[in-house]
Amino acid sequence: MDAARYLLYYLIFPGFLFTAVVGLLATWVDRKVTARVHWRVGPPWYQPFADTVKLLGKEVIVPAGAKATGFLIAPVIGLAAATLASTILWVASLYPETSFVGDSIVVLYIMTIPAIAMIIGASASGNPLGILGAAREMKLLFAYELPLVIVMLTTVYKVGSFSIEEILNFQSSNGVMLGSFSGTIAFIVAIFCAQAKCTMLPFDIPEAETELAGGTHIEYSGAPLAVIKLNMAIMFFVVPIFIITMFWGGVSFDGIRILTTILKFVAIVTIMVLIKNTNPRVRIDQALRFFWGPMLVLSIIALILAVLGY
Amino acid sequence: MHELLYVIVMPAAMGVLTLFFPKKARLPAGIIALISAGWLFIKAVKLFGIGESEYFRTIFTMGDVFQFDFALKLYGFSSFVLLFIALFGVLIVLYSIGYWFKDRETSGIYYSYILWTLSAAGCAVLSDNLLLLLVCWEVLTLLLYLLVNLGGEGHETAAQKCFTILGFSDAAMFLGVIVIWIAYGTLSISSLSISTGTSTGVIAFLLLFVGAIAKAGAMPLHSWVPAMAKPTQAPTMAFLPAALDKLLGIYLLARISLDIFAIRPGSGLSLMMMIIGAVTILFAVLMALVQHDFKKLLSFHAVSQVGYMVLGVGSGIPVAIVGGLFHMLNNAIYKSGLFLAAGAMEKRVGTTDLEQLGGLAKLMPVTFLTTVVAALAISGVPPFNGFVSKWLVYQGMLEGPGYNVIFLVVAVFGSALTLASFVKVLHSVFLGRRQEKFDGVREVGFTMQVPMIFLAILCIVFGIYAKLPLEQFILPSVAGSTGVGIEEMTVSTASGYWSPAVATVLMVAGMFIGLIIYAFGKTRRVRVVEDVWIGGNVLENEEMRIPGTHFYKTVTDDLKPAYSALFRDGKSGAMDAYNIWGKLGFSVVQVLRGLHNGILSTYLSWTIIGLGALAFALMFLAL
Repeated sequence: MDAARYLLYYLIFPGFLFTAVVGLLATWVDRKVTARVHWRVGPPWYQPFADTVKLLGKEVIVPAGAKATGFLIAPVIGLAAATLASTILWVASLYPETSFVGDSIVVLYIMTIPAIAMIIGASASGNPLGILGAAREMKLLFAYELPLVIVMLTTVYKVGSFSIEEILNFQSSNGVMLGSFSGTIAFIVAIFCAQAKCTMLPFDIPEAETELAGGTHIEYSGAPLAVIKLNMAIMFFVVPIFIITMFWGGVSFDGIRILTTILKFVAIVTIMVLIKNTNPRVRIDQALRFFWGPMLVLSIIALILAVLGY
Repeated sequence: MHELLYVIVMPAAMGVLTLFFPKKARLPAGIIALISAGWLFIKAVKLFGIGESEYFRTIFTMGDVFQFDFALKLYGFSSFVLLFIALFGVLIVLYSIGYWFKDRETSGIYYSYILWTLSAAGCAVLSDNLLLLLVCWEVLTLLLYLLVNLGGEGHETAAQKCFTILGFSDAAMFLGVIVIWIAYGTLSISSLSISTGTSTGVIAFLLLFVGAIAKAGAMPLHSWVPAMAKPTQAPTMAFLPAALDKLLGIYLLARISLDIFAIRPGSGLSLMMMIIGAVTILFAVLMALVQHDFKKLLSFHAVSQVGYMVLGVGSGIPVAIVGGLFHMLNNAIYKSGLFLAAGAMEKRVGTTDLEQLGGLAKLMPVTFLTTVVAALAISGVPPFNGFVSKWLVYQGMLEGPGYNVIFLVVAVFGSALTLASFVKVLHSVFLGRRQEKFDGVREVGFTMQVPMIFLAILCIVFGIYAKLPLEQFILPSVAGSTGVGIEEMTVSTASGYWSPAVATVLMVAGMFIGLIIYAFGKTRRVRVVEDVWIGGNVLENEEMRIPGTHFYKTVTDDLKPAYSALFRDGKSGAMDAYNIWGKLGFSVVQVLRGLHNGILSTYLSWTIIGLGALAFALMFLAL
């Protein structure tokens, strides 16, 4: 029975259907806020859904030099992983008894798979611009992964466990991580890492529309492109939720806490969108230096403060 | 004859037999080797079922001064390591039959070396006497030297380097054995229990530790692994540094640090081992990132992964020890599989140069898929086996003293870099664009595919049903040694246990969602276009080839001030004790050469000084 229940979680709520819908709505928030910043009106709320349906109706093109199977299967693997990350995160928050000791690190690992799938797909396309994008995606991944791991460990260290359940219990009895010195610093670093994880400006280096013409996405069209867009929408939803869980008391659907959950999520999304709209794209070496320089120092300070008990 | 002796004598005898096979009879020699390895495996399975057995015979005694016992002891840990040594023996011999099938240069002597290695490794694992263990260790060093010498261009220097480093570590072990004999009067591993509170104990531990980590290939005694990678054939790499040497080195490390010396968490020696582990993880993987040769890149990963094992075992924390030992097993499985994939490249494409390879996924689908599985496993991606063991190590780091969090960061980040490195491999070998001259490459034969597929399946099974190897192999091995009962161990590892089976089912379900979306779209009518779109330019295939070797050039270029020393030596081997000692030795030789000036009176005066010193010493002793 357990398996069936998990499958239900995974497919409907809080898994694929829920995550995809909310993720697409979040991309609408992104587009709407961006439009307002640009002094435009922006699209209606259903635009992301319409775009997805439209892409499904388009022809799928595969270049002759591509490894077609790998090229087409990669977005699907990314989708499965992104959905799994979301499911584990939500199920652990909503039904704490299902949490297991290592789930936060499982989520961290699984959140890297969509990026890896994208790299494999671009590499399989055989397009040199796609391959450049793939190389950048990988470099970006390990650039932000280091500070992200360290800030995650500030929380894990304070709680003394990798379990999301215990992280949430600790925060509900001792106040949220964000309330402490180390937590605040860690939160700031995590936001920048989230920006890079969602490959949003100023870290949209792997896609770089004006330079690589889409980079990792260049050869994709039709349904595979729709899946990629869906992936990105899901990640845009999962990554902020992960940050909320680690630093900001987590998510909940009990009475009034629905409202705070939505507010927290929208707050993080708005911060990310504002960063996106006020910064130009940086080069990959600048991004690397940013994450392995100031961000690394900040995250180490946060970790030291956490070890000292601040 | 005692049942344990069969394990040692049989492969050795069969190795003598295959020695006499001429070059033309490679195949019969291989089949004989396969039968003996298979027999050894069956025997090992039986012994694993028996669980415990002993053999004891005193070879010779020198009054009260010295006694050499041929003591063998089979118990949980050694029977499990023996089982996997035999398993790898079977797989590698099977692979080698296909690998050498058309090679006219090799004779049955290769199989002799492999069988003798199996025999010596079996003896080392079963040995209950430190001196016997040391003898086996040296036989293994010698066989490694001989195997490397069968390799291609540059094998002489590589073999020499292996022999020097491992010879040095064997010498250190020999000193350690002497210290233990003099100070404690016995060499029986199971009856020794030495406190590390005394300086003698610490010295003895360090000397044996050198032997263990040199075999496993941890820094700073790692450089023989990358040095032998390029000239040595892939089956040898997959057999020794990837599988057997890890099993043996970490087996010895666990025996000495858990059984003989009982290192406690938080002690100075534990900290030293953890630092060695963390440094090994990080620096070796940084060097792997910049490699241009598939086998050499893998060899740096073989070094890097040892770090997790040393970190886990050295921490002295039960969960981390279990993780470290499980990682030893997992690493042997996936690393061996990766080297076998490199062997497939060697065999079919004729090179392992990452700049030459590329786009081979379509032509060698089995090799590609098994490599993907092994690459994800080594990077610690769930649900493969590497994830479980790495996660156990992480979990252990949380339980120790506060500074362990540093090791935790290094371990987690090391994993991310490993992933980066294997993305580069997948791109440069299997994806990307193919050189036109390699269009006719075929998949390797059946005998080479079977070991690769088998190892890949093990990676998946040990990941999804990790409880099975943990409860069957790892927990019984350490339950007695760490002072923690088996029940407690089971609980402490199982309480945090995630259910990879469910996660895997969900992943598959997720992929179905994706495929359904494809089905809704027009994916069934895929249009294949002439070629990729590069802003309207039309380029030749060669112009569009981007090898993955420069993927991480930004990293190496940009961080030059911090990493220049590391990367400059990356090719020759940074942090290489071999080079440092080489320079030191050279300067000593220079001084000695200065003394040899060929003038008779100088020699005479040295002789007289020497005689004087000798006389003085004798007088002193007589008094």
